[in-house]
Amino acid sequence: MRILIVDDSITSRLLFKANLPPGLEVDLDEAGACEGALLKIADNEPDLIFLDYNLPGKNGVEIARAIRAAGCQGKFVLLTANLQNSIVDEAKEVGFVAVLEKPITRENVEYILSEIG
Amino acid sequence: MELTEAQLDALKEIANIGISRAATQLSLLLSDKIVMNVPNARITLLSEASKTLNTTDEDMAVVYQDLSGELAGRAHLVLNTEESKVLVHALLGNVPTLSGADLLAYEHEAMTEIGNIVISTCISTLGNLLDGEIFLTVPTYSEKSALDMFAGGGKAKDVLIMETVLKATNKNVEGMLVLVLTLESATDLLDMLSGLLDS
Repeated sequence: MRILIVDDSITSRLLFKANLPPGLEVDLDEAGACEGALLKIADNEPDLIFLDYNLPGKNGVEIARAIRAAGCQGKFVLLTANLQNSIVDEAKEVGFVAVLEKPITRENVEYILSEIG
Repeated sequence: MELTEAQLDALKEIANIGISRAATQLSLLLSDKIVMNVPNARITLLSEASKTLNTTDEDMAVVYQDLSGELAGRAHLVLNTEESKVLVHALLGNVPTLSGADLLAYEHEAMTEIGNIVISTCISTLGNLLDGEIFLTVPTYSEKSALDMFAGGGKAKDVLIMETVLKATNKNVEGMLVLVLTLESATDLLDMLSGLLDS
């Protein structure tokens, strides 16, 4: 499974990697913002894209739009502690299939992957 | 602006709901029991705000995010700088290959993400409770004294401050979540709470 995580926090990306289920074969790419994410998808189209919401520049939902416009068909998962209804609704409109609430835990990651992976 | 007992009680309760949710997430993050005080709420001059917090003159590790939309102001997670390091290492462990400036940058980055999770959780809970939309800037990390935390915001300005102490019991780390709202937001918040209670 190819996964791209887009989060400006190195810590958050580190926690995501640390909480992937052991033994799961994952080809993981990372980006800190929109430009990096678009470069990564051009190189290696992901099946799943985990996007933080609150990022410098474009937010996670805006990046998802840009990724989709670039032709990537991967599924989007919102990765955030900011679970305001307005944000979750905005994400759903753009086609996000799930929300992974921060802090990232093994249990949460396993659940998301089992549901949509 | 003077707050009535009923208004104070309503503000403390809404702060309690938001901060409790944030404490739950912090507990998950650190695998530790988080104990929190009953939040305080008061209207004060911004220039006097630091005096009402239980801090020393020393620099503290502060992560803050500005709020706009339904509520305007700033939310801070504040820790003693040494305790913030304990918190970061409790989360990520020690990194023996890093030292000096690299280690410091790593600690600041991790502390920023901890602040982001705690503040975002608290504010999103408030946003949902009020059925409104609150925008947050990306988190900023800085080391400053309580006095400097509130500098530059206009000395004569009244603000609403809501704060509570959060303590990770096993790691013996204590921090404060401090929410500063403009007086206009405080008035709006009280109106919204009044509407919620009426309904």
